[in-house]
Amino acid sequence: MKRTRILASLLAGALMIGLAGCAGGTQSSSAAAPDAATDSASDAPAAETDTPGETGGEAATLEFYAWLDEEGIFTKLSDLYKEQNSGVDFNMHFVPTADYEAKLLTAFSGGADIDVFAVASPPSLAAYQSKGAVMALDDLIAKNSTDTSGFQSTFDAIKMEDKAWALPYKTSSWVVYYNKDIFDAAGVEYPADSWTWEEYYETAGKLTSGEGSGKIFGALNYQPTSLWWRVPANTKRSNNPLEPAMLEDWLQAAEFNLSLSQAGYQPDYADRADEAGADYTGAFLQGKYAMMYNGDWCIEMLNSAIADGETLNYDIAAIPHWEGETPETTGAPGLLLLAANAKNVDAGYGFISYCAGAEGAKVLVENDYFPAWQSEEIVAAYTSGITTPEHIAYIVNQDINSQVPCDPLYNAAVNTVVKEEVNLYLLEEQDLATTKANIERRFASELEQ
Amino acid sequence: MSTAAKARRNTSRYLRSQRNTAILFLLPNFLGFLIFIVYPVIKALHTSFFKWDGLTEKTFVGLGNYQRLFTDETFHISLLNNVHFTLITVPLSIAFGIAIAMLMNVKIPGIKVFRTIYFLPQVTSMIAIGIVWTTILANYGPVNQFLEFMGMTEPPKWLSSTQWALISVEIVSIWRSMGYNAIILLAGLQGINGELYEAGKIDGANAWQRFSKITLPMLSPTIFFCTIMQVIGSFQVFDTIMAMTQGGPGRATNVLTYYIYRRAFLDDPQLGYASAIAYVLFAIILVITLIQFRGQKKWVNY
Repeated sequence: MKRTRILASLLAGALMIGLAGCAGGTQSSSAAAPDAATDSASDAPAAETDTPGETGGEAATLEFYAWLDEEGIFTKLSDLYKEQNSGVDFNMHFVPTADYEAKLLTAFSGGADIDVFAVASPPSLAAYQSKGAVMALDDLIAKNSTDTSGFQSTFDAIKMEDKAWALPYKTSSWVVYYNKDIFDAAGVEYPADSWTWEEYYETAGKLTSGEGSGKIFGALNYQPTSLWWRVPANTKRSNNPLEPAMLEDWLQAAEFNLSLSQAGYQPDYADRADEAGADYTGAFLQGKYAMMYNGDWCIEMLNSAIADGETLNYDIAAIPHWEGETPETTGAPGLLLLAANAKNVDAGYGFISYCAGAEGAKVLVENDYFPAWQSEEIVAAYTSGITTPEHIAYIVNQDINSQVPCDPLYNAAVNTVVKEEVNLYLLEEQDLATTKANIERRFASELEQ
Repeated sequence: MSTAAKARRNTSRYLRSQRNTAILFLLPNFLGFLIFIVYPVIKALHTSFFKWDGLTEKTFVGLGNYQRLFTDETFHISLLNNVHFTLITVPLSIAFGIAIAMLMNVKIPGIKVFRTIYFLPQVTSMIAIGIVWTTILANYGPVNQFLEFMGMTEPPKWLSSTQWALISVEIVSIWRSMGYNAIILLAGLQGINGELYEAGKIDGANAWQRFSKITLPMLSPTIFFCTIMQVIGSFQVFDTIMAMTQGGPGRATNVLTYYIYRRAFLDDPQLGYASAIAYVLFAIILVITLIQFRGQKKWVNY
């Protein structure tokens, strides 16, 4: 009896091994099936750029984490990478966007295997870096002689302790969207190449007309739950309200937006703050707002709405700058990181340098992403074939400065203290001096230094 | 003698095997309770004595997290909002519950439809409720349009002023829970012996006297049950806040559970501090519930 039992368990074990073998087989065969469209696009000029981080056939399964919005692009990038590096396989984990940071934290503290992960902005990088969860990349960059010139100023902006901890794969870029029909009806000239916030304010005034439900507003800069009122401060490189001088700039930006509301040029914050499911593109498509400043992602949103039958005649202009400041724009880079305890360092680095580099940029641009890697080729690819908006080049032809700092305390400072106190200011429940005093007091008492 | 002893042994063997079966049946449930309730509760108490961001090493801070509560103004604001919320929603949702239960306690055709309607908010997703109510209470929403139509020049900014935001959330909570209370209270009402009312009528009691001297005392155990459940629920309110205001504007609708969530999981995670707040909340609910159980002798008739 005992013998039969041993035999049975042996048989069962053999069966399981067989099954596992089958599973592995199907996995690799599906991975090898190339996507015709992406394949043809990526092979032509790829030959001249050297493949970063050659893994030399080393077998590795990368544990990759990103949020759900990025599922499409990273699935594509990982498939392409697998084709070029036969030994590498992926275990992709995509987490619902709102829960991503919490899930990632749980995964880290639970000791899950993580090789590569993406974060949406520099403060998250700073937070993980300060907790020792991120690997410094300098040695790998040197070893693979990775070209980082394409990242421009972003690469230095995300350095901490003089070390590189991440490679940026995408970025955003802010511009002004405007409704040409409203400009035409009001007889106002389209924005010039370069303009100031004061001019933006005046233009908004000229474009405002009507009363009640038919009122046309010159501007729309508020989005409920967002901190977009601060963007005018970002255009003068003020991205961290934890620094006293920059806090002044942020408050100035809030004041600028409140004055637009008080003059009647944009809706009251209160009326925007509680619009259920209010969304900026939806509002802009209604044709009731002449201008809004917003990120490059709006182009895709507006164009697909137009393709679905909405009518809107729009274009984009450069984001304004403050009098006396250099005209430049702002944006937040998305980053790829290696976990400090990554098991597959070389393969992981190979993948992130592929995604962030020239080759990955091509894939990103083909999929309507705005890559952090900038080159004439990318600019041409980004702008080619796009007729709406006419001046699409404004997205790519300006210097982009990071609108978020590499500060681990930034998110906590901004998403609670600054947001709550400035909300009260924009709702006209407290004045600017009180707002500032409250913010400073709460920074001191609520944030752990 | 020997047969008696044998019989006893048989019974005890029977009982023992029965007990083992019972334990086996209880085990899965009990294990689940141990692993998913008891362990986290103890672990949270343990964590509350540490400073911990969830990733790096914990550092022991003793009662530091609890001391910090005394100077944390957001904690104070949240606690006060919780108390306000409880004081408003619990009495009103039970009062409305009684009123609705009495309206529904009639035998007319179609009354079951109304019972269902009043219970519907309880089975509807809070997120959906939140979206609908934020639309209803919007500055130019139906409520304010009605108020303006009635001649009010400046109707309240329900969700976008610190003055009204908490009240708005309370209104929605009352609306949501009164139907649930009504169904439970209705069961209580239907358990009241009709003869009592008959006797009251014969003795010349009017409708109010019958309500206050018969209905309320007879209903008091049910009301007590509803009060306990409502108080516990109202201190744990989270979904309504999350769906409607996210604690805003400013911190006007911040409550303890929402604050715990934010401290524990968002931005700058401080799991130790969040656990300390959770334990304070637990202590508050425990004390209030104990007081209620003590106080029930004075007004609850069994």
